[in-house]
Amino acid sequence: MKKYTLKKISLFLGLLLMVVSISLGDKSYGQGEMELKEELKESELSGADLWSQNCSRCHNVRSPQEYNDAQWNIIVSHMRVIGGIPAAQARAITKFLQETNDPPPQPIAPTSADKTTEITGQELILDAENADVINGKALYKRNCAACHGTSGKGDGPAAVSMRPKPRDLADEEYMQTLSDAYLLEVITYGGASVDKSPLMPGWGNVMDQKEIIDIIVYLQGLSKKK
Amino acid sequence: MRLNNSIFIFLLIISFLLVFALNPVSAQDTDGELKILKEEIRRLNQRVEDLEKQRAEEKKMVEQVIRDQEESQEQASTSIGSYVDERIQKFGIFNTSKTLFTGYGAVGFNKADGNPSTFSAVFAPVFHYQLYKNLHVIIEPEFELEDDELEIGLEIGEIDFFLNDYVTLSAGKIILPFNVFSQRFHPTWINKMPSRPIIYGGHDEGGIVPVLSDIGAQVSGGFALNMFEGSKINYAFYLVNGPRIESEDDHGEESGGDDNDETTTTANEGDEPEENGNGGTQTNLVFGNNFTDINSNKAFGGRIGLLPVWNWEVGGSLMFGDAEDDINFFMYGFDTEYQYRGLLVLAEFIHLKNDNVGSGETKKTGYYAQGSYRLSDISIENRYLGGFINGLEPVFRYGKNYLPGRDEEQYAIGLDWWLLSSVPLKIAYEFNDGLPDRVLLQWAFGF
Repeated sequence: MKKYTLKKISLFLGLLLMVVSISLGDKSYGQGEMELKEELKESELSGADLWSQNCSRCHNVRSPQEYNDAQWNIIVSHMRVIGGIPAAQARAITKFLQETNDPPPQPIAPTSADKTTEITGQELILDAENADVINGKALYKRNCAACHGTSGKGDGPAAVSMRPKPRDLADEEYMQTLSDAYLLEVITYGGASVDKSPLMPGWGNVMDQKEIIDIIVYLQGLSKKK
Repeated sequence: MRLNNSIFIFLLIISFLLVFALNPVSAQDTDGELKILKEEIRRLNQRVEDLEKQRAEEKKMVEQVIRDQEESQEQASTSIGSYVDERIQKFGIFNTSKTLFTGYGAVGFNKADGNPSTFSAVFAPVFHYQLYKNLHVIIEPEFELEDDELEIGLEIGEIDFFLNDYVTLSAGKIILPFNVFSQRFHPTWINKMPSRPIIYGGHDEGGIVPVLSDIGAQVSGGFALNMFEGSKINYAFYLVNGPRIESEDDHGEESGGDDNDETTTTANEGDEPEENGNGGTQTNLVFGNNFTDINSNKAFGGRIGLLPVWNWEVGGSLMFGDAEDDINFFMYGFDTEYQYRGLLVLAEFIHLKNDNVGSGETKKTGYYAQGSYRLSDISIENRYLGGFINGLEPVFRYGKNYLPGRDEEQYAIGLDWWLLSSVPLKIAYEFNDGLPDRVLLQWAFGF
């Protein structure tokens, strides 16, 4: 019987050695921002996508605001072991959660005109002609579709467990009631900034104003397609 | 004219005389008083100016004090922040931001046919500590109130070393990745039903295996595959103490191991031990209680999971070893999970075979399938009613165990109401064959 045990231990150590040998020739644990971007580019899945896909397979997704940066780092590392999540994906998920768990520390109202915007009194009017709708679509898919769905109907993979449900952005009637300034504010600073769902994170730490305007212009087209 | 002037001068002199005659104060006194009055006015003016200056100075001082306080608070905050940052950088091990307290628990109520109804409670805090960026410690004690005592167990007590992107080494008391329920779905706020599936002894008795955990070492990891969106593969292999044996003689008395619902796969009390005709007796395995191994025979196991697409996983598991000299065991299992919008389907199969004490074999087979659907797609005009309906999740589960000498079968229906994303209220009814029917209520929480 002892021979049996030795065989098993040898088998285990052999497998361990094999896996370690293969992986030592590859990337190390710590990776920089550039490498992370490269990884994401390759996978074409954003941190938001990976968050909704990996977490919702087992349980309701937890809002980014529930934990701070360090806590998310620990949690996602633990989930990497439990759920067998590839390391690059775990890093992308952690980055997404850390970027969206705090509202950007900026004043809420837009106070200066961007190159692509004009401010008329309190009303912000977007210069749609200068907005990059294709970029807006790509950014929407990357950052918003996990909850709002690729068609904008509020049916993304992470939406299942959310209360209230993510807004139907393809609802033209509803979208027409929202001003450009409101959309800019809610995307930049999150749902809580306009007394809506705190589950909607602020994206001001992730995208600049030009990119957010690209998304807004894309959304305005999306709701008219319906 | 000259006369008039004279008269005028005369009258003027008379007037002066009269004034001086009627006024008792001398000219010298009047001058003195005026001086005094002037001096008084000057002093009063001075006093007012002094007071105004004093007031302005006091105002300045108050403003300065407020500014100083604000600055000192800011400086203190910056100073503490810098100090902490410095300490963190210098002594990573003291980094308090590297600790995390999470966990789960539940309060339950169940009534089984022929048994008294009872409340129950379980609480499992989970302590995480990040020793270094790639070295984590996780400790999960479990407190359960059962019968007349508080049961305390250690469900997880492991250290994880993230060697690189593809290999994580774990050691300690680990949850075994045999199928998926033990490792991923057993926490109360994740399990859709108030009870475990029947193959995991979900009726507090019987079952094929308990929620599996053991002491040993594990290597695990995952790889992304360039097939479809979210395709990946994950693996885990482990070497652990393995199970003990619990055999019963003809009188049903135990000859080893612990009679613990959580860890044993023994037959129900009162069941006749199965004779194999060769003098051997039915031998049951006790998983997870082999803290100090009774022999040098370790158990080896592992699981490989494949996700062709992000929302569908299929897995195969095995575990084998010697529970004792000449008592070999071999266990294999399959699992699959599928998720689409509000739908989650789980199914698992386990087959366990072990040698009996003496001669012969004990075989146990079981499976279950569970489906749940979160009613999040239903749109209702009324906000409150809509919110309530969207929080509901009906659950259905079917399971069957083929045990020596008897079978167990279960149909269970349940309804969850999600108060928060990690706080469900659950109600379920189990239609059991071979076990009493039960109604269960549970208020679970994860944090």
